[in-house]
Amino acid sequence: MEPFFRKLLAMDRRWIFLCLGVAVIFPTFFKLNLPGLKASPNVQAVYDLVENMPEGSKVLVSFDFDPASKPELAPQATAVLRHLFRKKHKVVAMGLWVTGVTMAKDIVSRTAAEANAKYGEDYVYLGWKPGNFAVIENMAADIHNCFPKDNDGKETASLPMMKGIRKLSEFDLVVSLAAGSPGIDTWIAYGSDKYHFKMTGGTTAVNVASMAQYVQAGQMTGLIGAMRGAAEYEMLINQKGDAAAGMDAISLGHYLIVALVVLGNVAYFVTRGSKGGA
Amino acid sequence: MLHLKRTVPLAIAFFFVVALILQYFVPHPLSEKFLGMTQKWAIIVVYVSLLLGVGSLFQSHLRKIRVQTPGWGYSLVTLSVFGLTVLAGFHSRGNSPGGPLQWTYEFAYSPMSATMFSLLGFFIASAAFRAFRARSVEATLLLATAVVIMLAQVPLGAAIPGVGSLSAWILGVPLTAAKRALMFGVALGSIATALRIIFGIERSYLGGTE
Repeated sequence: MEPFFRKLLAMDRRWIFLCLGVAVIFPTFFKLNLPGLKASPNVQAVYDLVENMPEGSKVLVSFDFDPASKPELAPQATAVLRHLFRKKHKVVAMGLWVTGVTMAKDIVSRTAAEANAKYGEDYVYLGWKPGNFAVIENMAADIHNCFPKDNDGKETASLPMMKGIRKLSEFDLVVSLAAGSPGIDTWIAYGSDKYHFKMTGGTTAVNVASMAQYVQAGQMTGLIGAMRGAAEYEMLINQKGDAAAGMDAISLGHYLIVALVVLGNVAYFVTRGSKGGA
Repeated sequence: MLHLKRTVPLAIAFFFVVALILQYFVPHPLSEKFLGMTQKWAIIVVYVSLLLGVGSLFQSHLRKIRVQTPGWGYSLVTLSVFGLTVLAGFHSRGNSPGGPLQWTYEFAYSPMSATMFSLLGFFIASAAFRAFRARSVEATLLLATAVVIMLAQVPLGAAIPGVGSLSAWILGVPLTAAKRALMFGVALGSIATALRIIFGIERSYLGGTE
């Protein structure tokens, strides 16, 4: 066995790349529908929050991510927006990341069209403005002043839905879908903690641990974590999307990495101490 | 000149930082007006800094192209693509649907950005195989934690008895405690730096050797 493990340890890393590539691509073509997905308490909390708000509640959705995090956060955004539109809430969308503006507009327009939501009456897309936390502070003072025009150049004040919304504190809920900073932490530090509005959000797998502390501290309600969180939300709203489809690929990728770690350690212990071993 | 270069900026920084700290505790219309005004200034400063950033980008890459430092071709590509994107932006008048700017974003920037991020997965897999070894007690703990967290991230793994709850405990207790400690450290460091700026001890933002 020892020569085999020694060879294994010296394996060209391109074999690992190939294995991972196959593990991720295979379920894209052949659906495995691996079982066991359950809604976690944090995702359930976000769902309950949206579900239990009275119809027509004002919700701000901030797209604080770029295409690099699209596989994880776009399915979250789609699922949350579908839920918001289904519950007939009034949605104002925007973003703090310039590289996400077009992507966000596409997601908002697509989900709004599915729900037959009318622009200006049921939803508005404000786009992006430079300034990071200063944008939040400006919106807290006067949204119309901060965004005099929407993303398409229409006067914000002329949009029927925006006539009833002037300040951040008038929103019933703010949702930040964030891949980093500016994002959830910025909205909490400069927005909800100071101007007292309800906060929730979603983030990427690597950021879940950093953002979960805000849920623990009660500074935000619930948190959607990564593609798995998006798949859980899709399950809760009963409408499968990209996240449910991507979970098989994510699962196989994780199993492969765990298997590689175990195999690497077995090889390490078998060859340890021998000549040319690890 | 030294007066203009050093004393005046230090006085401006001192005044605005102290005024904005005081403003937070004074809920008077005048104080709110002052806050609104400074917030607008902040956004204008960001716009100007964007222009400065573009200028700096051009200066740096043009120098590399002129001197032909190793890899100067990349600088040429950077500036060419920058120019083309700006042209596409002007042609699309900001962001018209189906225009060249949207095309560039959708079919060039978006897939390239996602690809760069996705490559990390391959390197992580390779690094996990080569570097994650139970060489010591600490390394074994790290290894076991990583395996539990990774398994808990996928539905079938989380269904293994104990994995879900152990992962939730690791994330909710030791990890959050460590994260909070880090955040407190960063916050205290930020306050210390802010005080150094207020009192003119920290002057690196003035540029030069200050």
